[in-house]
Formats: sequence, structure tokens, C-alpha cells
Amino acid sequence: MKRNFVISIFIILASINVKGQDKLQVNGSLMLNTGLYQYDSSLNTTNSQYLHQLSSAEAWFTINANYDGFYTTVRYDLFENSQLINPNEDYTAQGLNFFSVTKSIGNFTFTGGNFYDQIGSGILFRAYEERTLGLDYAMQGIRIIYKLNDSTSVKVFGGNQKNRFAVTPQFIRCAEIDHLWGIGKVGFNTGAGFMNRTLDDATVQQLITDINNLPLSARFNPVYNVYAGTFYNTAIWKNFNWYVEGAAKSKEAVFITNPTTDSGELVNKNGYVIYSALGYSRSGLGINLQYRKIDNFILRVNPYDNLLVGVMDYLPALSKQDAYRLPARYSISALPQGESAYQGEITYSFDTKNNINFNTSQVFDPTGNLLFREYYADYTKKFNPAVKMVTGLNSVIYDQSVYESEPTDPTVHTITPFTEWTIRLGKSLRKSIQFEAQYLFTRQDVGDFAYLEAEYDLAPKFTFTLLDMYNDRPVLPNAPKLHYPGIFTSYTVNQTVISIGYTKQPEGIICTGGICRVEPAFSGLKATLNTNF
Amino acid sequence: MFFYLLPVLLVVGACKEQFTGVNFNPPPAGEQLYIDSSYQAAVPKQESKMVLLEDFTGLSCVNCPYADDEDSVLRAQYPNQIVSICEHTVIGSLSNPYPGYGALSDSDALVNYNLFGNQGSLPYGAIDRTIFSGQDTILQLYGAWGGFMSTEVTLTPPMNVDIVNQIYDTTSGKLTATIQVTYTSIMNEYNYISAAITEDSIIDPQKNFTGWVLKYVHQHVLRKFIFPVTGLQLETSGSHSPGNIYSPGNTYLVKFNTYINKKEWKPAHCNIVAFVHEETGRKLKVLQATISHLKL
Repeated sequence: MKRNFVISIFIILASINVKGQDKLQVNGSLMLNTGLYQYDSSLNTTNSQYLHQLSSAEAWFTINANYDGFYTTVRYDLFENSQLINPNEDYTAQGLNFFSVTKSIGNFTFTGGNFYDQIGSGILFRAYEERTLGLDYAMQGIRIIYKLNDSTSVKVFGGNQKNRFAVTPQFIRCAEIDHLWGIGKVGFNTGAGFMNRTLDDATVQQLITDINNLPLSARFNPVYNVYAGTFYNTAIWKNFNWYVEGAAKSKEAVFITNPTTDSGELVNKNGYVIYSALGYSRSGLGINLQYRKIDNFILRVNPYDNLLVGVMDYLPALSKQDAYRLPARYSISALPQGESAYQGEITYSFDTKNNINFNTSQVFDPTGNLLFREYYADYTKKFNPAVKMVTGLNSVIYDQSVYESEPTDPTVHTITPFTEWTIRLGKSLRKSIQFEAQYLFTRQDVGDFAYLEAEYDLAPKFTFTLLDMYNDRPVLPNAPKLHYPGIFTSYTVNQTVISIGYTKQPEGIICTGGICRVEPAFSGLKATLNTNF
Repeated sequence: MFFYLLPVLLVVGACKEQFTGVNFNPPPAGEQLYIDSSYQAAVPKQESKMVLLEDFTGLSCVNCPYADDEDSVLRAQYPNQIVSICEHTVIGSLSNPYPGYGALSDSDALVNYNLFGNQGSLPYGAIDRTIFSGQDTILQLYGAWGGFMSTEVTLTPPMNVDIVNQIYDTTSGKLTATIQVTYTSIMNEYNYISAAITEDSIIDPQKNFTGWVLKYVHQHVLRKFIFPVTGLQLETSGSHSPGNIYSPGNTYLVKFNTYINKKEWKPAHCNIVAFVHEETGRKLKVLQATISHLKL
């Protein structure tokens, strides 16, 4: 059916006469990843890709067409022996995985097919894609947006969340109203949202069976429907902006981790989130403070889903997204079962050549135990147009037993100094060399790491990168001191970037936009191609 | 538009779901199905497949005798390979007994009938609680039973199920027994065990197309499911490889206590039925069944 729909769209587009062809706009993109796997016993790389398939690939080919107000998107996805979605499997599938048509008529905008959207900041509901993590939470359904006037809009949509090339059987409905207004010099963006998810019969039947196996005192009636609402407001006054959002959900069957026994439990719980962000910015100074409290705000299409499967909302970690490899080694994700998190950041520019950045974040569990704390500071200096330096220090306390579900692991304490130098070469300054040096001190987990990277950039076409991450002081006695080298090159021609490299990397956490997952160890060749047309 | 949406939201919020299926009642006094012990044993020889046939029926259901006949035909065709339970279900007036006679319906039968996809009429049957290829429900008309049964009896069950150590007190009517489950294959999904008491040769009026048959002989009639009706989960135990929930040799001894209703049932005609099944969404598949006559 999807195939016929897409063919119909293209027949319509192809039948456009010469007069109309100048209104047709087509663009697209291709993203391709491929890997060749080399078995390495020191990394314990025993996935089937290393033992059997020896290669993998992922590709996303997107075409957007716009004609006379009809906006159409189709995307063809390919996965071959991929471990992107699930690091423990070799997933192979391909086909049309995204299609949508959008048309605006007057104040209405209609969308049918797949779409990405969110309510408020995403706390209540967010359908999004993050390819680096193998996430695609696209909706498949109908969306209607109505603009009452220039400052007020209403949005409703309903459908099913995608799960790879299929859709989940649970139905989701959302509505949102958003209004811009002001009092004097204070501007407001106020909104409210609503979400309802209905379970399917099969899931409820499974819940009934599991509930009937609980002790009598723990039993409850599982509901088909969960209802959730949110209210948000942004206030802007001079250099200040203040965002507040509060969301709550009704009781439903969810699986939680019992904090005493550390085992999974099926319970009937409601939940809420309170989030606020206060910011101040003026020339040379930026201050940002954030607070968020989560209490049992677990929103999934199916209570039996786990990890990153079936997530309906967007709760990014309230911590700094570190760009440098070693400071980012112990990154966290938000805990929907419960946490209180604080983050503060100050950026100050003394002048055009000197600025500092300080960031701290702290996360506590519902009983007040510290789960995560980070202090980060860096200093950027531009010596001259050709030389720039960034130097900084990062310190982390990371409860590995909670964030990596390893109950016996001790809390990790790290101190990581780092520095980065960029030196532009030549009269045109189009060539540059970049050096990075980092050292992570810790006596927990696998011990100290050193990291060195050198990159030679021949803009606009070539870059060459050499790097090495070295386990300098392992914690375990007699553990080998392993190197994790990498050599990369990339070539850019017009809108196309091709990169290829050989690398070894240890198992770790990869985070994008505050959402994290475990990345398995890798050894082998990686090649990517990204292009737009 | 927001104000048009508001009453909709209020109406939606005011609607309440109707709940069914969860049992909040404590088990009847002295009734319980529980895991007494589990251990690792040598992998035994695989027993033959025994298929569970659940025939949902009613005393006033005129087509139901045809389903009984089909059950007899299949039992003759596949001797010692079918465990039958006739579950008298309350569906409108189809369960009404002949005036002056008692009903045979059991509330647990309705729980199962709803769980398998209530078709609103009788007779319907469940073969190993399986949704067969090309079908979208567990419940099937009796005319289709033969075709599905022919494939189901050829399956290799992943475990042996046996009823051992029966003790029946003729004075109190208390029955204690042990169901031994020993795995012969790897299983990667949780399994559940259920047990029931059935009774044969019950003489009770049954309606057919010509009217009431006053001395109809009802076989395999469900008298009760041992608590819990939806099955008791077999917790992972014993030696098993990572990623597997059950491995060959994993053995469970599941005990139960129950009471035989001596006033209304004939203990000499009673049987213990036990079966191991899955519970994964709509997949309730029965993997192996067994039956043992009540030993007096």
C-alpha cells in the first residue's frame, strides 16, 4: 500500500505539464555508513559482524518535492547486518520507511503519512529521529495545524509510532495550543498540550496475566488509556528569558526498578515533571540556570518496551554535552523513574580574544543521593587570527551502578584536563592544523586514559586526522595497556562529504542531544558519505 | 477552536474504562498452585505431543453437540494425543439449563473465552490456544478443528509434563498433587503452568436441533481451574545459558491443593489436567498438556 501511494505521488508529479514544471522543486539527501569489521580479541568484539558477516551498512535516501503547495517527502532506508539500532543484533532490512504529504489550505495545514513533531519542549510527547543512535520515533498518521491568527495556533494529530519498518499497534493522540502575547515590554509564549495513548488488547491481556501473578496486595486493574497534559510558558523581558513547564500523566501500568531490591516491578503509577530554565544574555555575558524534577514520568507506547524502544517523550539529560572525547566518556541520560537535576552555566567574554565558560550540573535520586556531578571550565584565547587555544578542566562524579545498571560497580570520580590548539596556515589561512590533548584521571572503572589527536585541514576539500586513546593506568593489576588508534580522512566536493578511516574504540556511552545508549567496542574500517542535492 | 475542544476533553476525561480479568479475590481457602522446588536434572526422553482442545459450549446451544461429536472423532483419530476440556460458558441464554436442572457453567470459562477473543456465540474451540496461520483469533469453529489438529499433533513439545504424587482425602475431599515439568529444549520466553479439574460422564440435559436430550452424557466438563486461572509463571531457575530462560534439564515441581466438591461432583469421574503455555501478548500457545485420572 505504501509502495502504491508513493508511485501515485510520482505519477502525479511526472504528469505536470511544461507550464507547471517551473513550480516543481525537488531536493534530497543521501547518508550512507558502512563498516568493515576486524576481529580483535583485546576488545572482546564477539558480535556476529566480527565473526561472520564482516561488514555492515546503513543508508537513508530522502527525496523532498514541493509543487504548488503540496510538499512530499519519501525516504528509502537500508540496513545490512547493522548493529546501529540494537548493538547485539545484525539487522538486515530495506524499503520505503518514510512518506508524507503536506498541504496548506488557508489557515489549515494538513499532513498525512509520517511526520516528526513535539508538544511543548518534548517532555509530554516528541516524535523525532536521531540516526547516530539508531532512533526513529516517527509518527504515522494525520496531523492538522490551524492558525487562528498570527499569534495563536492549534495542532492536533493522531497515529501510531513507527518501529523500524512497521508501526506499533498502540494509538496516540495529541493536541496543542500555542499563543504569543505580551504585557508591556514583557513577551510571553504560552501553551498547553494533551496526549492520550491507548494500548492494544494483546498488551493488556499480557498485563492481566502478569498482574494476576502478583501478590494480592500488589494487584491493580490495568488501564488501556494513559492521559497526560502539559502547560508551558516562556517569558522574555529585556535580556532575561524564563521558561517553565509542568507535565503530569495519569496512572497506568509501568515497570520500575525497586530501589531496595534492584529488581523490576510492575506497578500502577502516575507521574509528573517540573522543568524551568532561566537565562540572561547580553554582549559578552551569558548565564543559564536549569532545574528539573521527574517523578515516575515513564511514557512508552508499550509498558513492556525497554531501553530506547517505544519512548514517546523527550527527557534529555540535564548535563553538559561534552564535545571532547574523554570528558564525554561518563555521560548520563535522564532517569524517568525519578531524579532532581540542576544545571548552571556562565559564559563570559573579556574581549574578542578571551572568554571563559563554566558549567556545573548535579543529579540526585528521589531519596537525595547524589548520582552525578560535573564541574567544567574552559578558557578560550585567540592569540591572533591564526592561533586559537582552548584549555579546560572537567571533573565528574558518576554513579555507574545506576547509569549502567551495574549494581556492584563503584561510583566513578574523574578529573580531566584538556587542551586544543588550532593553527591556521598560509596567507589565506585556509589550511589549519589542530591538536588536542586530554588526560582522564580515575581509579575506578578501567582507569586512566590519555588522548591525543592531530588534524590537518586543507579547506575546502581534505582533512586528515590521526588520534590515539590510550589506557595508561588500568585499574586491574596486570591488565594490558591498550591503544585505541584511529586514522581518518575526508574529502569534500560541493555538497558531498566522503570520509574513511580505520579505528579501534572501547565500549562506551554515545550521547546525542542528551539521549544516550551503549556503543559497543569497534575495530575496523568505517566509511561515510553525506550529500545533499 | 480551543473552546470546541474543551468539552471533548471533558467528556473524554469523564469516561471511565470497564475493567475485567484481574482477580482481586484471595484464593479459595486451601487452594493454591505454587512452585515447590526447581532443580537441574538429566535431560529425559521426549514425550509425545499432547494437544489441549478447549471446547466452549453451553447447555442451550443447539450446535454444541456437533462440537462434542467432532471432539470424539478427533480423539479416536489421534488416540492419547488430545486433552479435552469442555468449558461451559455464559453467553446470553446459550448456557441456560433445562428447567429444574443445574447449570454446568463456570466463571473461569468466561474468563478464558474473553481472553481468547469473545466471538459472541457458541460453540467455539481453542486448539493449544494457538492463532493459526491465516487466522486472527484463537477461537475456531468446530468444522476447522480437524485441519488445525493434524498439524498440531506433529509438533515436538519443548518439555515433559507429568502429574505425580496425587493424594486425595475421601473424607475432606482435599486433593494434593504435584505437576513435574522438565524441559527438553531451550526456551527464550517465560512459560506459565495452569491446572484444572474436569469431570466425565455427567448426565445433564442438552439442547440440540430436535429439542432437549434429557440424559445427555457430558464429557471432560470443566469443574474448576486451580488458582490462578491465567497461569503461574515458571520463574527462571537451574542452569541455563545466557539469553535463555529455560534450558534442557530445568525441572520444576509445581504443587497444588484443591478441594473436590463431593456433593455435586463424582470424584471417581474426575481428572486433573495440567498444561504449560506461553503468555506473550496474543500468543498464549499451549506447549504441552497432560491428564491424569483422579486416584481415589
